[in-house]
Amino acid sequence: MKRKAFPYFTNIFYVAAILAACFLLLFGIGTIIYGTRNYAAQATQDTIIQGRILASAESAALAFDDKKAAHEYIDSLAFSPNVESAAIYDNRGNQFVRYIRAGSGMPPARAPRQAAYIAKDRVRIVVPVTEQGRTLGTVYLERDIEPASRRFLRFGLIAILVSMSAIILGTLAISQRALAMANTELERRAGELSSANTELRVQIEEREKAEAALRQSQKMEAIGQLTGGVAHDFNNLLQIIAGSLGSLRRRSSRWNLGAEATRDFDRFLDSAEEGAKRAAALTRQLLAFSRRQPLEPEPVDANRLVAQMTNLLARTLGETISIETVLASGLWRVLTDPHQLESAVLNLAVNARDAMPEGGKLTIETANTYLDESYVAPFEQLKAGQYVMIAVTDNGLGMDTATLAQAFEPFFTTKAGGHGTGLGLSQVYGFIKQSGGHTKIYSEPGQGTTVKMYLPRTQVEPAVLGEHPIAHETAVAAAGGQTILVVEDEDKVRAASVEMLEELGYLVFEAADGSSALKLLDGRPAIDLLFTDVVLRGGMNGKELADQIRRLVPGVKILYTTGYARNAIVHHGRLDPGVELITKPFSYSQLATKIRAVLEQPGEMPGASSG
Amino acid sequence: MRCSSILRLLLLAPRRVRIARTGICVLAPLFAILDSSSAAAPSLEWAVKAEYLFKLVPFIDWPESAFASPAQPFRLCVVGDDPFDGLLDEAGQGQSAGQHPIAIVRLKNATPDDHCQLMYIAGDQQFVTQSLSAASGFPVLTVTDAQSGDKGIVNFVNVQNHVRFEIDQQAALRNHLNVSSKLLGIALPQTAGHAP
Repeated sequence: MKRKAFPYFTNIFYVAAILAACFLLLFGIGTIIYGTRNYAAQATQDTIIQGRILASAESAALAFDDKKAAHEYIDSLAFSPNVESAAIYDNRGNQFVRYIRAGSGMPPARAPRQAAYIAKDRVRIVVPVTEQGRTLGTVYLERDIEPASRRFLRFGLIAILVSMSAIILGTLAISQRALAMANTELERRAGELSSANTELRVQIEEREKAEAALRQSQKMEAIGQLTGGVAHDFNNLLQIIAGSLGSLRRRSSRWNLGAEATRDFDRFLDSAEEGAKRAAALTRQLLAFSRRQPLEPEPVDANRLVAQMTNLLARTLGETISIETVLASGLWRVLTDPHQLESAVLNLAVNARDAMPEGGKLTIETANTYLDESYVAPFEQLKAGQYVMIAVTDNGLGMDTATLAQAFEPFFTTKAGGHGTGLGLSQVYGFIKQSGGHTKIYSEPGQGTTVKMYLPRTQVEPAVLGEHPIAHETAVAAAGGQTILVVEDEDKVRAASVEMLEELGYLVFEAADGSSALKLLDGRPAIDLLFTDVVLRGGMNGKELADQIRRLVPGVKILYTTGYARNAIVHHGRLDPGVELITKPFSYSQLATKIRAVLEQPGEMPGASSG
Repeated sequence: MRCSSILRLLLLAPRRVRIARTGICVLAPLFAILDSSSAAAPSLEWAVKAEYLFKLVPFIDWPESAFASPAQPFRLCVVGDDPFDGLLDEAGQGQSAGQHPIAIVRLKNATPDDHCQLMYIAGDQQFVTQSLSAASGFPVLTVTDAQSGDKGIVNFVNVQNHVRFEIDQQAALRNHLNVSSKLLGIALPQTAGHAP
């Protein structure tokens, strides 16, 4: 509006100025014309007076036919530069004498009848020659209205007026143009300023978003550190509990308790083992969130994984919830831990079930997708590129914004006390992030919730895609008397492990840290297997110890154990090839199976000798 | 040369005298003869003089005492033998002196009781002198045609075939007349004059 109003007033000003200039010009020309006319009338009057004077002077000469005297008078007109010609006529109209300025025309031969007339810038007058009322003849006088100098002055005035008007108009035009240019420049600058402002605002918004995302990720990281540490310590404690319970159960058969005592013993033992198991499951999820769980990634076809889970999901969700799967054809493969992916899908399904207490529909959808630079910008460690999306959608209660903001945080739950751990989404978040992917929740109260998991595409072809073995509890076979060195800094954990291995029939040495382990080996016969915690006190971690021992004892087998995995053996959350690991807490049978499997591996493992 | 001067006279002459313009050059020899035989009243000269008598009137101021009443005619008197032979009557047709109609009066002798405003005196020197003295002191413009001796206030002179005149300003003053400076301007310088 303002920008329009300004030129509007300017236009009025310029129109007024142009009108004023035109008016000035017309007024000037009018004045000159009026002046000229006025001057002509004045000149006529002057000429008549001049004629009368001449007539008066000539009366006697005319009356008495004295041409000599008449010439004396009429020739004195030479002093009047405007007079072109003059003549005296007698009563009968005959020319008596005449005067002609050099270069001028002849006066009429006979007396003209008109008293005064103007033609071709000449005024011509005829006045009677009288003496005391008696007419003696006529005088004719012809005069230039305007002397040349005066005409030049007049035309000069017009020229000055015209040029002044032209200068005014020219100045106006120039200033108008300058103003227009200034206006354009101003508009351009305003535009630039505006766009710069917009850009700045966008940048500020992006920065705020990025900062919020960073804050969120830092918070999650901090919580992850905390939960990871807690879970690690917890796992050690659970290992002690579970190991002790296992030993108790195995030895109880040798005790002769009464029937009632045996029943009670078994009942309490079952209860304790069940509690330890649930605690172990919890700590696994905590580790998953903190991205400290060791992943065993392999190329996975998400479609196939989802399809295989359908039965399990149907059992878990119950009859009131229908399951629909929308699986994209030609879905890319992803490199991930299939067990963890199953857990993630299951966790989401359980959350969906809890969000639909009246029943509803669960949709699992897969798709190939691309995350571009602008999408990944606010997220640390997320790279633009091709991703496989797995979306789990329910049409349940949904979440409000405040709930959404905290959804991924561990132990955050909207479920009634005792109905949820608050770790389901945390596991999904941690696992997907550990796999180099991204999780996104869309939810609205009353509309339902969609959780989208993005996992990066892999070009690695799957070796064998078979049934994934889910924790086989195999019968424990007796061991073949091999020698095992157990290195563990937690005394009670080490004691539990040693007890288990001895029960399994292995010859067991133990050490609390790396240096004492090496000292122990000094001068001793070769051991068959090193069973070490990844994290050790005293400056040497499990991997460094394993490397040293491997040099001393070629062909030795290595099995790591950990409350959680660290970079020593887990790179980017994935185990190095050929590295064997059993995570705490482990059961007697799990340990037995794992030890047997490692010991039975043929010879030197590829890659194990390196660094 | 002579033809052209006659022509000039002819142009100034009254309509009747002008004759037919086409016949001017045919008449020229006749004028030449007349011209050479002294001033024996050639009609053209007298026609000019008759006209001049009337033309003098506007250039002269008469005192109010010259007229008894505004309606009184202006008396133009010819004293002695009338030399104009009717030309005067012809020239005076339709003429007036201001408000006053002009009456042409012919007198044998000039007397103070004539009440003339203009008196043309024709006669010999003695007659002229007598007439002038009779008019002296009265508001009368005396006109003579004298070549010597006493002359009137206005005295006609022939100069190169042109009728010119002398003016005696002192005589005019004596007769209470005021002569226009314009008339004085074209008058011939005075050759001789006699105070009465």
